[in-house]
Parts: sequence; C-alpha cells; structure tokens
Amino acid sequence: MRVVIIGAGHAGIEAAYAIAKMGVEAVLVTIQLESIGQMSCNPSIGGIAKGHLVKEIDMLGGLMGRVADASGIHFKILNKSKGPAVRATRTQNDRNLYRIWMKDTLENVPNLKLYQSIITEIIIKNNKAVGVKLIEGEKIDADAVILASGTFLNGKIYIGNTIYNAGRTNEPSSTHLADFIQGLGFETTRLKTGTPMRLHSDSIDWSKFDPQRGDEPARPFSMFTKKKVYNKVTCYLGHSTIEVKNIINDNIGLSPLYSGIIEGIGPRYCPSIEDKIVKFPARDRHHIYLEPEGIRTKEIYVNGLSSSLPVFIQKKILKAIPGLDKSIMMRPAYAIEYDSILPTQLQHTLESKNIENLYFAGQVNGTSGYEEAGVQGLLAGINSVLKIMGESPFILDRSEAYAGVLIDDIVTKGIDEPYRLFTSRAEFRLRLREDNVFERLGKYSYKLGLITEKDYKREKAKQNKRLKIVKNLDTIKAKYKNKGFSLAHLLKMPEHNLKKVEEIYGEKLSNKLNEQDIAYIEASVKYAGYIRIQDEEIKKMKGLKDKPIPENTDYFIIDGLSTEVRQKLTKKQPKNLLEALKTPGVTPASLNAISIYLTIQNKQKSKHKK
Amino acid sequence: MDEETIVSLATPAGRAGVAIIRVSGNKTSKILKGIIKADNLKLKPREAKYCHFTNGKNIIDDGLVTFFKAPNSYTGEDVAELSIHSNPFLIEDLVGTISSLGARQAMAGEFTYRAFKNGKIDLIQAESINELINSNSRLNLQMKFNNLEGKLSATINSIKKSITKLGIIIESSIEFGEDNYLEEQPIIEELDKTNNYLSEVLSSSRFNEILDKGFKIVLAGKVNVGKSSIFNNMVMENRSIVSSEPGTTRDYIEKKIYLNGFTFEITDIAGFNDKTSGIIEDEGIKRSVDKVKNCDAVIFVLDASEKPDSRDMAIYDLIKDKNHLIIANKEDISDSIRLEAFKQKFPTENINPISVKENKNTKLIIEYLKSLTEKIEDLNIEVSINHRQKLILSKLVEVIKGIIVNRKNTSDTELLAEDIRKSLNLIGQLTGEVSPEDILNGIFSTFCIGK
Repeated sequence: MRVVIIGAGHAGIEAAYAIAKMGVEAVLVTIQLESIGQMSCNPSIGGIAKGHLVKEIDMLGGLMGRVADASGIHFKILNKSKGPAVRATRTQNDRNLYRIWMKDTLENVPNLKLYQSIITEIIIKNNKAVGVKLIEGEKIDADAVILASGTFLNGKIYIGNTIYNAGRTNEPSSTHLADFIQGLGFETTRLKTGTPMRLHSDSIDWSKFDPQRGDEPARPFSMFTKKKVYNKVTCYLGHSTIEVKNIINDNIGLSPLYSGIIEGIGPRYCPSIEDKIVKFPARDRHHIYLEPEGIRTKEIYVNGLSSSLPVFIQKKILKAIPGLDKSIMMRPAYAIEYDSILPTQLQHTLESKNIENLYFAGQVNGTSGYEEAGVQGLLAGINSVLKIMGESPFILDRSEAYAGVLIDDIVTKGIDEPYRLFTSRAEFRLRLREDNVFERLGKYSYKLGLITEKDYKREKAKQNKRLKIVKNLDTIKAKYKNKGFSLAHLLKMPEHNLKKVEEIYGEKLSNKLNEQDIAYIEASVKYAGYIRIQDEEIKKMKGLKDKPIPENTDYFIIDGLSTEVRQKLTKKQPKNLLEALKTPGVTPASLNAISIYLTIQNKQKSKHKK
Repeated sequence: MDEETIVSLATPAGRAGVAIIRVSGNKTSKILKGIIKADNLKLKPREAKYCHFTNGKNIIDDGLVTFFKAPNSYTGEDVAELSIHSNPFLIEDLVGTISSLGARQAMAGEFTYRAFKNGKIDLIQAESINELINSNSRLNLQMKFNNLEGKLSATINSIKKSITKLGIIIESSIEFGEDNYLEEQPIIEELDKTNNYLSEVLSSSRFNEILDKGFKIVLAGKVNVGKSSIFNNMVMENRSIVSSEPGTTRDYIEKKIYLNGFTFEITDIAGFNDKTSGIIEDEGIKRSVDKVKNCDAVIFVLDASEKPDSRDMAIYDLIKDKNHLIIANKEDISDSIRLEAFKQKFPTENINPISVKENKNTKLIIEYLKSLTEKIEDLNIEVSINHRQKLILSKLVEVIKGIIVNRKNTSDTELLAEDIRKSLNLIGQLTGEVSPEDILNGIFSTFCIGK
C-alpha cells in the first residue's frame, strides 16, 4: 500500500513520517528537495497555542519538536508569570539547520521515499484518488493522496509593482495543480500573507535595541530530545518611529495591498507594517524584533516589518529606524497571494467529502503557521493509513487536543482569513496544556504505533510519579496559620505554588521534579474545580455528538423551526445534534424539535421493519 | 440515560389553591432529602405523604410529596410531585431551593418529551409536543429580552460591555503578552457599579416585594362614599381573605385579597375622612399622602348621589398621577344629570358608575386589579423576569463578584478568563447571543497585534 504526499513542507513531512511508521509506503514529492522543511517566514517554532501544538505533534511521534530542539538557538517559555494552561514553549531556530535536519531524518526512514518533481494531476477513478501524474509524464499509483502544497497553488509574489508567480521567493508555484483542483469542483479562496526583509547583521547598530534573552537553563520541546539544549543567540526588541508612519502614509498608494491589486485576505493577527499604520493611526510606534536566522549566517529577520511596498520605500523605512538606519538589506520583504480550498469541503479526517482517499493538509486549507500545518499533516497521514487499512478514523475531540480544536474549527466553521490557533479558541483551555500532553494523547499514540513501547512506558512511569504526588497532596496535612490543612487545600490558595507548600510542610515531596512536572501538579490541584464543571459540559456535548442526523434530512417538514434555522441547517447538513447546535441561530428549543422529529422517524422506521 | 434533573411548576401560576411542582431525573431522591424536613419520613413509591418543605434555613410550607420510582412514572425517570400552597413567593423559594440542589428549570414540554423518549407515551401524544415546543419559542419571543427598554436590560448590556472589554484585555495578555493601553480601572469600576445594581435589583427589588407582599392599592374617597362596603364586596366576591388586620395606626386599615396568584394589599385611607376642613395639617394626613405616593394603583371612590366637591378635588389632585380607577358609587340613587356633572368636573377621566348595594358593575373593580397583573411588565421592568432568568442573574452576579475580587489579588489570568467566559455564557443564556468570537474580534480591532 502506498500514499503519495504532495509537498514536503511542515504538513507533508509529518504526514509522510507517520505513514511510513504505520507500515505504509510514503512517497513524498516536492518541487525542490533542498527546500524540505523550509521555514518560509519566521525562523521560529512554537509560541502561545502553537507551542501546545508542537507538544501534541511530539506526543504523536511527529518530528517538529525534536528538529526544533536540534536546530534551536534560543529557547523561551512564554507567559511564565501566568498559569500552566497558557504557558508555552517557543524556540528561535537556525533556518538552514532545521531544513537539513528534516531532510536528513526523512532520508533515513524505511518505507519513505523522497522524490523531486512537479505534480500536474491527481488521478481520480470512480471518485477516488488512485495516484498522481508528474510533469515528466510518469505516473505514481497510490491508495491515497495527500495534498500539502502550502502557498504554492497559484502563488504570486508582490513587491510594489513587481509581481511574479512563485510559491516562495524564487521557487516556482504550481499552476497546473491549481487549475486541476478547481477543475475537480473544489471551491477555493484567495488568501494573502507576507514576510519581512532580512538584513545583514554587521550593518545593524545593536546598541539601539533591548536584548531579549532565552531562558536559562534552556528547556527542549521534545520528549525524544536527550541532549541538553543551549541558547546560542540573543534576540533584540526595538520600535518603529513616527517617521516610518509618515513615509508609509505618503506612499500607501504604492502598496499593492492598498492600490487594490492584492485581493487576498490577510491575517489580522499578523498585519504588514502598512496595515498597522493605516488601521491603528493613533499609534506612532510599533514593535520590531530582530531575530537571527541562524549560527552560520549574518541574516537577521526583522519581525514586524512585513510589507509589500516597493524595495526603495522599504529602504526608506529602514533609514527612519534608529539602529537600522545604516542597515544593508539582503532580501526584501514581500507579500504572497495564494489559493486555499475552503476547508468546509473536508471531513474531520481531512479527507475530501467529495473525492475519496484524497486528503488536504496545511496552508492549502487556509491555515497559517508551521505548527498548524504540521499537526494537520500528521492527522491526515494517520487517517489516510487507517482508511486504506479499513480501520476507524482517528479524530481528536475539542476537549482533548488543540489539534482537535483546529480541525473542528476549519472543517465546521470554515475560514475568512488565514486561520491561526489561539488558546482562546478552545472551550476547554484549562485541560489543553503542554504539561499534560501524555495524559491526553499518550494512549492513542501508542495504540496507533506512532511511539514505541519503550517511549510509552517511560512516559507512563513519569505520569504515575506525578499522579502519586497529586494524591499525596490530598492526604498529607500541614499546619498553616495555626490551622490544619491538606497540602492540596494550601496549594489551591491563589498565593501559593508547590514550592511554597513544600516550605510550609517543611519537606520536599520529591527531589526529581522538573518544570513540567511541577506545572502538571499545580494545574491538577488549582484547576480541579473548574475542570470538574467543564467535564460535565463535555459529557453533555458528547451526548449530542452521539445522536446522528441522517443525510438529506428535510428541515422544512420539521415543526417548530424558524425559516432562518431551516435554511441554515439545510445548507450546513449537520451530521449530528452537536453540529446542529453549533450552527449559528440554532437554539436549544429548536434542537429539541429536531431531536423529537428524529426519534419519531426512527420509531416509524422500526415499525416498518417489523 | 444520564440526563440532567429538571424541575418546573406543573400547575398554572397562582390560579388554584394548590400548586404542584414536579421534579424528574436521577437526582430526585437526593433533592427530596434536601427539601423535606422530617426526621424519619419514609417515602414509598406512589404514596402521598404529608411533610414540611424547607429551604435549608426556614420551613417554606407544609404540603404533600409523592415519589415515583423509575420507570413507573410519568417521564420514566425518578419523579417527585410536591404540592404546596399556590403562592408565587413560596413557589419561587421551593423551586429555587430545588435548583440549588442540582436541578435545572425544565424547558416547555420537556417532561412530556422525556416521557416520549422513554417510551411512556405514544406517537399521537408526542405530536402535541411539537406544538408545545412551538409555544416555547413563542414564549421566548415574548421574553424579548433584547428589546426591553428597561433598566434591567440596560444593566445586562452594560455588564456585557464591561466584561467583554475586560475579556479583551485579559485574553490579549494571554495570547500576545501585549502591553495594555485600554485603561482597566474604569472598566472594573463600571462593572462593580452595574453588578451591585443588579445584585440590589435581585435581592430587594419590587419583583420580590410584589411576590412577597403583593400590589399596594389605595382605596381613596371621602367618608360615606361606601368604601367599606366596596371593600367587603371585593372580599366577598373572592372569598379569599389572606388576613384582616387592624390598621397599624388609627389613620388607615389594610386588608389583603388574592387574585391571579398575586396578593393585593388594600389600604383604606382614613386620613381623608375628616369632614370639617378637607385636608388638615396632621401627622395622619402625611402618612396617607405617603401611602398614595408608594402605592401601585389607586381606586378613587366618588358618591354618585352627590355633587363632586372640594374634598373630592383635593383627593383627585393627590392621586391623578398614579395608575387609578375612578368609580362613582350609589349609582342606584343617582341620575344621568348628576353623572353628567362628574364628567364635566373630570373631563379627562372615565367615571365608572357602580352600585354596591345592588351589586351592579362591581366586577369592574376586580377586573381592574387583574389587569394590573397583566400589565406587570409595563409597570416595572424588574418584575418581568421569571424564575429561570432570576436564577441565571443570581449566578451572574456571583461570578462577576468573583472576577472583581480576583482581578485585584491574583495572577491566575487563565482562571479569570474562565470566569469571564462563564459570565458571557450566562448573559448569552439571557439574551440569546452567545458568540465566542466576540473577544477575539475585539482584540484584533483594539490592539495592533503583530509580533
């Protein structure tokens, strides 16, 4: 059995790796082998919600976390002053090393074949993907195909008036495939994103910026990382000036974003510098972070200055920023416009609703970010294997993984801008933490064969150690302010952490606790009350999910629904009561009406059978 | 089936002497233990027992409890039926206590729906449920919480605004660690203020007062116009005197009657009875004026057999701005010419001739009082909230109090964010707009995000 994966970016890599591990041949086809695992934009992995995703990928045996560690040059836990649920890991990475590590790792995986070519067509037979055609005229047969083509579908780069077709700077975009996908009847939309300029390190006056150092000691992402990791570079923070604002205001007509040439919708959370100036006129300055691109390079990534303005304006802007006024540009900033399919055409397995065994993963689904792409690739890979082996799909619930939140969001709600994960998108944020990823996903990962028995047992032992301490906290008592309390009670007090509780108790509960263990233990105790309430909510939701709505249900014959609700449900065709409830405008009362109708239908059916 | 336990008043509000509250679900037994005050009451299925109901602190009422063990019950689940005296205050207390023990308010038709689901009733019966659900959505429409232009609705909206703003600050600090340039202190202060107001509305509003003490009605008129016979007539018609107590001062007497599930406290103002000088400077008069000022409506009685005089006019001046009904008694010994004189004296008013003696048109007084209960929404917005809304609002007040306190003393931002979500959910249950994207959109339009 064989699965062909189109595109060797962050989604394609994870898909291919998981497929090969599950015992199916994975053929990973890319336009350029040197670009496997290319970080097209920020040389960084993780961040809030994204770090959570990396941990999930890691627990499901994926590569992103371990390669981020191996190529990491700056490690930081974000939101350190806040609670464990919203703390997240972020690394700066050596862009070249990341890429090399990825290619090197994949080249050594049995069952995984890398191939450089351009795919012109997906072969469809009886509404089923059965292979691909290459530009050289060759064919590869496949039991399933995963399309992970990133920004390469009709990719177009904009720098001022300069416009050219590309999937990434100076890499050809894939126009054949884009036409083909549209020909298959997939609805697509046009999105836009951008990347800032890169500067030569020696031309920057670093004294004008504030250093942003990594955490000491540095903590790795991955449970597979055995070597110690180190901070090797420092990042720097500065600000744009009012002159920058004036330059942009004077030249806004030169930006294809504002002259109307770019139609694609850009992300609100990652605006270009011209967007920031236009949309927030009251602000005179904006953050600029300087991030080294690696160890053996002088290139510096200028986070915050993404732009589509012509190069001469970009240079003018740099001149107006203290410390960058003498800087030498090595690559200009650019905007890129590309096709994404509307992800509502996909199932929760990321398989197309219309064409069997054809999967979509990553930026082509309208998401943005390496981590969002990686986790989709991983799940599309896993599900393609389960499908062709005739096993039941692997779908993560919103309450057990950010991966579940992401996929459920895009396939049920769709997208209206490049989708990025935020912790606030999760209803059950307190249980989706970096520290409890084993508890959430370990069992699945082991069962699916994504991690080895050895890995599973090791992590399980760690988990048991944590649980024992949580239990002890409940039973051990200590005196505090002349009253007896259980240690758990003391830990629940907002002003206390585990360290403080151990001080009150006068003894350490364990000598071998790392930061993640402590976070897990504190969260288990401090969040217990909230999580109990959420558990009830989850149970209720699951109950609704277990009640299917048959296809082609006619909502117009169900009494008690408003016309608006009838139209919306007809369009959406929810699969179960939970999806129906999630439809905007559907109230619990209308849900009841549907539920009664379905019960009556079922009773009538069973009568007929008799 | 692990369904939630539900509770609801099964009889129409207040029209009967007895009210039945029904509870269904697997927490029923646990709830009964919590609301029945008895040392060794042994409940047998399908047997009514006499008992006292308690809210944990005080006895609410005495009554009957019947327990039905699943599946031999109306819904097929464990069910209890509690009979108590039909008084909105008692009902609210008992339903509230049951809710606090883990039941939620049933939606319209939900008992029947469960009965159907558990195979207790057949298809034809089930079809009628659809109608019930239709009526439920109509009911929801009637609530028109959003359209109500009242203080309460404005309060909820203000709380929603402040909470959303606070949510934007907190969520953006979680997602982006951005420095805030929304001033937080004024938001907290505004939130505190509105929340306190809401809390006040809930605990000491006219809502509770009307449920508890009833409408305040003043019976005004000169001596000898037949006020006491009118009063007696009202009581006779309804044969349901709740109490008849002598006036707490010599200036007026109060009696209570019971209509449409509401109590009417009727005060006969003796202060107006002075024959010699109309209204005199007297402590008693002052109290009477206060009574009029604080009442919900006035029944102003004229003598149809006499010409309206200065004393009538003085009383009219006092009551004309209140919700009022003007009646002209002794119609039997009057004539059309005299009645015409009243119309000239009170050109903007509707004068209703009646005769208590001949029991003519007296029903219109009762009709007037009943109409007050129907117009209860117009009377004062606070009273238009129902049990369900009140329960949600009480929870909301508590959650917000917690948010305000915790914002001051804790750095557990993510827990604060949970409480903010909880309060927005509660508001959503009232106003029907739950939109989790609100905050995220707020962040994007408020802050320039883009590290």
